[in-house]
Amino acid sequence: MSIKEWFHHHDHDNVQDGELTPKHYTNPYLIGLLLGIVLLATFVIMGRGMGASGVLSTVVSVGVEKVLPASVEGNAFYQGYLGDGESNPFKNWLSFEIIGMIIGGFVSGAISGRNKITIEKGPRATNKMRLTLAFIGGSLMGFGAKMARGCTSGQALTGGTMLSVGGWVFMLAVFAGAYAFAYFVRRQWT
Amino acid sequence: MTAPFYKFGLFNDEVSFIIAFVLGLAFGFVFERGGFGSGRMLAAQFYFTDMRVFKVMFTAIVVAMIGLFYLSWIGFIDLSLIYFGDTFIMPQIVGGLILGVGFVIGGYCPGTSTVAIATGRLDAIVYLLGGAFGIFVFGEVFPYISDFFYSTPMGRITLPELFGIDYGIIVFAVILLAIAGFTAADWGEKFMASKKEGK
Amino acid sequence: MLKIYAALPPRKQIGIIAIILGIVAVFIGNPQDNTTTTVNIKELSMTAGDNVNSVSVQELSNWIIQGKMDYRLVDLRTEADYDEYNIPSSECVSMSSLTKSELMRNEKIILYADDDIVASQAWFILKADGYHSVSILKKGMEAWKNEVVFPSCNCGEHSTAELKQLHDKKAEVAKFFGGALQTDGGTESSVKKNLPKLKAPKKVVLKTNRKKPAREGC
Repeated sequence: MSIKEWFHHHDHDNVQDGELTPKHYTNPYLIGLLLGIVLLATFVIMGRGMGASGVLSTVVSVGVEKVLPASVEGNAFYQGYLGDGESNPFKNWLSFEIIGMIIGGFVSGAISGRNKITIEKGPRATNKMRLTLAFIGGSLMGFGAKMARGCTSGQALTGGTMLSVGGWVFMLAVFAGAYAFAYFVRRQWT
Repeated sequence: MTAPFYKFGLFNDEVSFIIAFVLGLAFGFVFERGGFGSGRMLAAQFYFTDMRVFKVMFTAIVVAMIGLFYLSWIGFIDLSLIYFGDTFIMPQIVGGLILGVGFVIGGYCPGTSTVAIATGRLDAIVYLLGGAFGIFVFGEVFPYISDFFYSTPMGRITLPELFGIDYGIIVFAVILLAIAGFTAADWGEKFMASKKEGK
Repeated sequence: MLKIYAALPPRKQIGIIAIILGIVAVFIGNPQDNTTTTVNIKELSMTAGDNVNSVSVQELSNWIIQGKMDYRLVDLRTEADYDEYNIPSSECVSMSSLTKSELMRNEKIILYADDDIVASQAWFILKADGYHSVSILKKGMEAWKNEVVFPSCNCGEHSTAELKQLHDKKAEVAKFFGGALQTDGGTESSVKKNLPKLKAPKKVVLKTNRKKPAREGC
């Protein structure tokens, strides 16, 4: 059978309200298994795990250096992402991984017909509300990710697999924080 | 011990970038396939309607953890050469809480937002812009909070080391925890679904 | 029993496999134990005679002068000896703490002690524990003293240009390490008697620091 048919064969529809019908998303346990294998491959080949927030930090550091160079001097945080000035700060493992992620995500979406220029939001939310909250949420995420030295991909997945104390503590904190605050933004999602 | 291959010099940096790209492809593909490219889908986790974030994450962790344990046991991989960050308890708790709040408000985390952008979600772009802003704020206040940032360090410590329990026992405990969690998650989803129907 | 297993939904099947793997893991305990290991004797006996396993003091002195810091130099003697004098860029690790040290299996390790015996024993321990690149500093501290810091050179007045170059080089290297070229020209035994006590290398300034590992965070 064709690739499309193979994927549909392995999916099961999640029974939800009309709008949130996940159009043929694969069983989460199978996804977890595949993700676990990719993660394991990363460990075996590279001796490190995945990551994501590092690229954003590099972008910000390079941007701040161009616009407000005074801020960057002597600031160990930015300097860490700018490197020693010898090589391009973007020439690192994470940058290439992120590029791959974007393309991989696009291909998957294309195969399943999920690629659409749209704004994700719940039935009761307006676009303006959603975009404002997206920005606020993103800012908190950026700040929190740097404070914790990672995001869910890096700290939780990598640290979790290696049974790092910080990774597990971080994971618990993320879930705790999200659940605690979910009530206050229920208008946006449900 | 032959793995991790890169650490034993089996290939150079340039090749490692190609590998990063290929692994990223797989990563992004699997993410989108699992519905992580949709903010609504991700947020549903925190309303108990679709617990896929938890299921995917924990299954992945358990699979990779078992894999690493057994590969180390047969002497294929050297676990001490694998990098993971040092533990700084307080900043990681506080950072995690903040990130969790940001996650449920924004609907994404950094990795999933890139996949979402790849499939056309405009709110993910705004989310990443917010993320850049948040990192910028962090960078600016960093000199003032760097004491806190470096507080409560515990070094490169793992759960077995912390509790003084064998690695294998912790592996078993995590597996049990995961299975219990998945059972609860499945039950929770059914409960919420039936509640909705009953409405 | 297999029939019951086959009848379960796939999710439960995988769950049972996971639990079994977990139970086996409990019995394995700590896979990277550091007390026992399996040694590939054939491989070890084939590489044991190779010259890749040894480093001469001349090579090492060149590396130190050039600032080439891609190795880890391990001093296996007692701490007291180490404090009194040690080769620049070395670290003190006793034989018993070798397995617990922070030496990594992918690093280039060079071992030395007062002679070759202790170093060879340490070589075996590390190779058996899976270290990929372990070498011994040929003749250890003795060679370092006699050939680098206090070398002698039998080059008289009528020596060739080559010998003169060698003489000058040896003198320079010796000076770098705080020693001096022995110009007595006497017999070996008389030279040995006159060797002054080696002091800690205050004058030696190492050119470069160890290369910082690339960022691997997320």
